[in-house]
Amino acid sequence: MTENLMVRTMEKARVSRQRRLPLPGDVLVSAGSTVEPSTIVARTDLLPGAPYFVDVMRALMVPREKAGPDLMDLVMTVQVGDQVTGGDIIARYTKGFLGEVVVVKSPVTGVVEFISRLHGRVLIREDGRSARPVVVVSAAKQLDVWPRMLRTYAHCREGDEVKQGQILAAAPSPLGWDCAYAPVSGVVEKICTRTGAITIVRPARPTEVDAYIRGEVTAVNPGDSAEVSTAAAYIEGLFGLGGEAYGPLARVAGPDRVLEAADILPSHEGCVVFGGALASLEAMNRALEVKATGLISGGINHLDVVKLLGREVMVGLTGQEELPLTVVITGGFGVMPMSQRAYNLLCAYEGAIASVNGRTQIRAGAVRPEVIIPLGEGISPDLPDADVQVARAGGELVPGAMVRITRLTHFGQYGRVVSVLGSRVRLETEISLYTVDVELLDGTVVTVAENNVEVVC
Amino acid sequence: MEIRTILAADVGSTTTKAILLEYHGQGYRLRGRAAAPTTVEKPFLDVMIGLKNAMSRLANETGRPLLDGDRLVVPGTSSRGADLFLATSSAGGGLQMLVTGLVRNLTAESAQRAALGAGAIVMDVISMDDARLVVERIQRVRELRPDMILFTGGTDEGLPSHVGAVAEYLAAASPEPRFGSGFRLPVIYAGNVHAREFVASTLGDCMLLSFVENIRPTLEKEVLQPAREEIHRVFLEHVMAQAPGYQTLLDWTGGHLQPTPMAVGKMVQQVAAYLDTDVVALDIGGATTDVFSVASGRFHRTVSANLGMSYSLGNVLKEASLDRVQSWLPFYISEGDLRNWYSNKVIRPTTLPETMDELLLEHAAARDALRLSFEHHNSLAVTLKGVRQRRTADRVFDQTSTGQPLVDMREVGAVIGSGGVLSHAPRRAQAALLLLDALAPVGVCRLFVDSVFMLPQLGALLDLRPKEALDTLWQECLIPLGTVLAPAGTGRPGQSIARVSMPGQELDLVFGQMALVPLGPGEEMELEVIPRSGWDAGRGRKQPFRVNVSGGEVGLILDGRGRPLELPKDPALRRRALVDWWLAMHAYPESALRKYAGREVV
Repeated sequence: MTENLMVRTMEKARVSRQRRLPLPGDVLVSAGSTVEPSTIVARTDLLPGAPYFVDVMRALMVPREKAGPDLMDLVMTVQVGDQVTGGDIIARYTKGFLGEVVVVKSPVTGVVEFISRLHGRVLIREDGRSARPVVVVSAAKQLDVWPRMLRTYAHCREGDEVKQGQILAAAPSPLGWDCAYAPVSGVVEKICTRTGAITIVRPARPTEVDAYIRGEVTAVNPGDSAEVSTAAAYIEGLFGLGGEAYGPLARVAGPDRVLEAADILPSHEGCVVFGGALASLEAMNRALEVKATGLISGGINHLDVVKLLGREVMVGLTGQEELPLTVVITGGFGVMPMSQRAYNLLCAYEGAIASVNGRTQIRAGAVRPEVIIPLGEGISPDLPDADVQVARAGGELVPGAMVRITRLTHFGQYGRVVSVLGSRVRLETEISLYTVDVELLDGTVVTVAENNVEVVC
Repeated sequence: MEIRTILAADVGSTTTKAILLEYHGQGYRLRGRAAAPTTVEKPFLDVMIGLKNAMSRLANETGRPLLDGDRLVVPGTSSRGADLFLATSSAGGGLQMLVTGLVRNLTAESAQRAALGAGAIVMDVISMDDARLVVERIQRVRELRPDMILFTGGTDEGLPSHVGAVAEYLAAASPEPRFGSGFRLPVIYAGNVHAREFVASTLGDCMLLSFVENIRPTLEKEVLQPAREEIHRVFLEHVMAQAPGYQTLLDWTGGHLQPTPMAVGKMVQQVAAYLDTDVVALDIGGATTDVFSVASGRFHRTVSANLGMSYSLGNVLKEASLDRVQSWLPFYISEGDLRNWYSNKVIRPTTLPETMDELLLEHAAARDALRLSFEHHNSLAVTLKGVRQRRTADRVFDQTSTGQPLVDMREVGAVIGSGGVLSHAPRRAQAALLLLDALAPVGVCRLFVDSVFMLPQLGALLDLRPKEALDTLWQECLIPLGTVLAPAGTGRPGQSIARVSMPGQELDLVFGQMALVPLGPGEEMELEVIPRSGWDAGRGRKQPFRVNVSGGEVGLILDGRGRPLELPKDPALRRRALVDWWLAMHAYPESALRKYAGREVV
């Protein structure tokens, strides 16, 4: 008997979701407060701290042959882990007969993350709280070229969007090429041929995290995250596309026919539509056109997924697609009628706000897409936790159990187990497997390998 | 003490397998085998739960109790327990390592080979000529959480400063070990000996540092064994001791625990030594495929982390292309249906083929998964790069670069297949065909399949009882499929490519055809092979030879399809050729193949 995890449909369960900021910020809700999916629960105005390399030996004008671990130990005034503010002295060197003191200052406020004693370089990680919206890169100086010639060596133009680490300018050097890299992501504001500097403006967008589900704030971690919990009807999908979305549930088709474009109407804007045994490409495009937020269906064609996204997609790892429509598939690939229980559950809550997430990860720590329909009730401690995966016990495949067939012949069809054979049966392929007899909904009785049915609960 | 019963377990990522071997006067026989899901991950976080489950099932199957409550009965009695318990493990993704070197193609590549050969999965390779920025490299090391780091770099004649720079990156990243808190990450230094002092001063405080011989003392020399032995020592003493439940497992085994691929590798080397030939072994799983080779006395192993028969099936199709996979099917299937079928297998990895169409779809993907894994192996198991070569004037038109694959299929005398799709193929001829189509051996080559994936357990037994391990290997584990004769060259369909003489029979091997000569397990036969002009049966073009061939469950396979193996381009001809080959090999039920042959081609 297979030890698959069940694809779960739960009429009532406790669902909790952590809503976490990527950088420190403010949590805007307090424990016990009620939130809607669109409620902003946390926000940060911080920018991700950029790494800055300071070439200490170069700044001190120490010849390469003299540089080394001992000299670095001598000149450095800070250690790994030290906090520095912009302008702080990080290295001091007394050189020459006259005892000339040369210092190197930190270009930013941050933490000393790495000191290369061999190469004489220091890495300072900028503190996000003091990150400047404008970053100036002294490109001509770094490349040791005449500022007026900077445009000749530049690999970007004003208005270009650059990513952190991207080459801004490069010039030939005796040992190959010297490069000036973008320390942060942003837009090139100016390439100045007087100063030889390239100015990057960082997008100053506040990062906001919404509640995703309607419920109650059950825990708050100040500056970092909030936990939102709810009593909800819960349906687990098998495959999905797109990230978190929410909207009122709207039935657009029965559970066992192909979902067509005509089924989706302009009135479904902002809705999570459901129905059908196959979400056709036309239907998905129509859902995108009318700006539906989610689509729940029984099956999907893999080729349609490729056409929709315009690229090959790995079935085992999805959710990062920049798709304004979240798709949750409950049956699999091809025409797969929705399970009657899941369909009935969705119908029962038609019009209610549902939260959907298409993120799928098949391997290690399986993550499946989900449909959460908050019930608007209090959270009882007796409710089962929707996130606890329950391994299917072999004993559940007993006469009378409702199953779905998961292989080519009769794939996707539902039926009831008539008998479970205790011995192996030799199949057409000459493989001997344990089998069960299943009576399909049309009354036909078929013999199927135990591995190829899943109990529908 | 006389050992009459041996209990051996292999803790895999998803399944823990246990076997019981019993002494029967002539050697050990497989008494029973059982499996249970591995419990190293959440919510169990104790490998012993799954192991005890597998043992209980084994006890039920064999009628021999192995546990007394929570205690393993060792040594056993005549009716309960076992005299010896040993184990291998690849749970939690196996031994996960980060390797570093100075130059990606030189020391970093040698480090990769050392780690892979020791049974590890290489999570990333960090080198000074890495295209990533220093910051990105540090960030990557910080995120990885490996079990240990193999730190190499530089020859003993080179400057130590560059290796020191890598040490600084590692110190800056200060990665956390995967298991255990308050435990220092083990780092094995196998680089420039003159940099040891600096490495010790940089990493000694924050990491558990050990030193072994430089993996690349000169550009012309590669010394992998000391590093591999140290990896094994650190794995047992530090890594496994931190993994959930493994301390008990180590106690139970008395320290006889090793990484699964390492144990398999030992057995593959034994097979190569016994047969006195180069050997290639492939183990195809659901998520990964391991390839082992012993070529010219050198052992190599690679793991293709994204090629397998369930979780990684999508990647097989992506890398091989749908057209290529489709070309192994004797029937038409639309691209849409094919994509849907394979995608459903990915999301439901434990389903099994019930119909012939499904079986052939799985076999089509397996051929490409094996082929791609072997190509990956050939890209890593190569001659040393950067080696100075001396050429005389007569070699001016025959210059080969360094970094050539070590495995030459002409020299490979045996191929071993393992993994569900090969071991559990309904007919052994199917496993033979999968290996032939994926690896395309040239000349004379024996084929074997691992009966129930016992190689890891026998590899673990090898250290303690070498004779018994080898006896069991040949009697219980490796099933001989037969021998293949496959001349290399191309020709026209119907053209004779070699004259093959055998006792009482003489036949022409014809291009584009396959033939099967009955030759059972344990039987031998002398062949005289006379290749036609332009054809090479393994000893050079048009070179005749005599050879003794061994039989197996399939027999003597005469493969006239030529090398490189190319399928007819026309779909109708290709499907007909597939059916003809499979009929000749008795690989699939004849009625099903006749049905495909009569099927209308779209």
